[in-house]
Amino acid sequence: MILTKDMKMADAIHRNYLLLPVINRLGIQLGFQDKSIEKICTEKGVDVSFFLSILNAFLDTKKTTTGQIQTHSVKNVVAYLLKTHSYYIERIIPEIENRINLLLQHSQLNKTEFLLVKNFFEEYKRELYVHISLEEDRVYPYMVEIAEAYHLGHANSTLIAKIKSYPIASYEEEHSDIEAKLFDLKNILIKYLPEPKDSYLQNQVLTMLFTLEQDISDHARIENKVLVPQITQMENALLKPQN
Amino acid sequence: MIAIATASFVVGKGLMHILKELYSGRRIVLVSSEMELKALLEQNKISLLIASIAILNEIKPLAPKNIQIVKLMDSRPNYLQLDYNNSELLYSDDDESQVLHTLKRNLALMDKTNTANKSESELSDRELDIVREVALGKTNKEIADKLYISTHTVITHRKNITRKLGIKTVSGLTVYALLNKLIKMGDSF
Repeated sequence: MILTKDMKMADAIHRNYLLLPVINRLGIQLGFQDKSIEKICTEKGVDVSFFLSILNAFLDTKKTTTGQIQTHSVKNVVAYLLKTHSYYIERIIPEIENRINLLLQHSQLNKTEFLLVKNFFEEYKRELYVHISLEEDRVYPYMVEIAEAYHLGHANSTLIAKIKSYPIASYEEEHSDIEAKLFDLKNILIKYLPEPKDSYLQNQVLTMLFTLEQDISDHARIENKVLVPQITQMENALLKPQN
Repeated sequence: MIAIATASFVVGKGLMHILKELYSGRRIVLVSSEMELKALLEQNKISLLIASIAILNEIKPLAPKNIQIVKLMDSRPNYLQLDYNNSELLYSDDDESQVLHTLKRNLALMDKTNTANKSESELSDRELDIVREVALGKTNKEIADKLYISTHTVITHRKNITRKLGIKTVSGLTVYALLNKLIKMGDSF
């Protein structure tokens, strides 16, 4: 089922608690009382239709639902994606690191096994950060620039040159290896580390990894299914008068 | 591994001889008492057990579940006809064709279950070689040259490894290889 503006905000969270960080990023904190989604959004000055598209795309991963986001401005979508980046960097990654460190402190793992996991996660983190800064420094500004030119109805020659040399499609490949590393790390914990006396701490790390994975896949879906096709269309439209 | 368990020296040696002629590829172990058989079962993975009914009755509660068993019976009761479909029983008065038929059938079954299990999850020896090389940071081309196979074959092996292990990246395979002691710390760098 899809969320609507008349539903209570609290019910959205009862539907799927993983929405919690998503609504925080959109500028809404807990303490909902029994207010509707619309009422809270109005109070906080959040565009309710944008809010609903983002939440529904998270809940229902079908292409059509995610596609709804396309009715909103590229700038707003990019602003939301930037907030998901800072959520990864400031919150979830440090938390996973803390939990991995606990595995050694409570001697669930010997030093070698611990270092294997820790270094693997470090490597993942480095790649994630490189990817994030590429997006923030180059991809997102480019997207916003294209959208602005598109709405103005023309692009200057510098932008035309950019479209020709680095179209949005040339950035697409980037996500795959980062997703694969996260996938591997889960299997290392689930399958290949020696059996612990008590799995509790490993479970916690895994729970965080699954949460991160779902959040990142939502993030990537918005980029690949909404922004990239939208920007590609705009690029083509901007190139046309040149021919 | 194939195990033969019977108190009869002649029957045991005879079976061993026949099995070796039919199937030279696998280790065959002969034991003569339920004590020896217990020890053997504890320490080894037995795929096929050929045992006298007396020994089997003794170890019954301990017998592993997924093991393929052939019972060695005393002479065939008169009322029982020759039955080629029952491959679980060998009678002491079975003729040559009956014995060979039963053994061949069991060897084939054993191979079938072994390969079925292997292809689903366990890595083959060749795949283990590849994991080791990948973990050491070798490229597909270097691995192909070292193992005298084509790059194409290396790629196929790597696809199967990823499918079997659920590990997609080179650094993931390195961690796997270290945890499973396929390589040692320091080998890689």
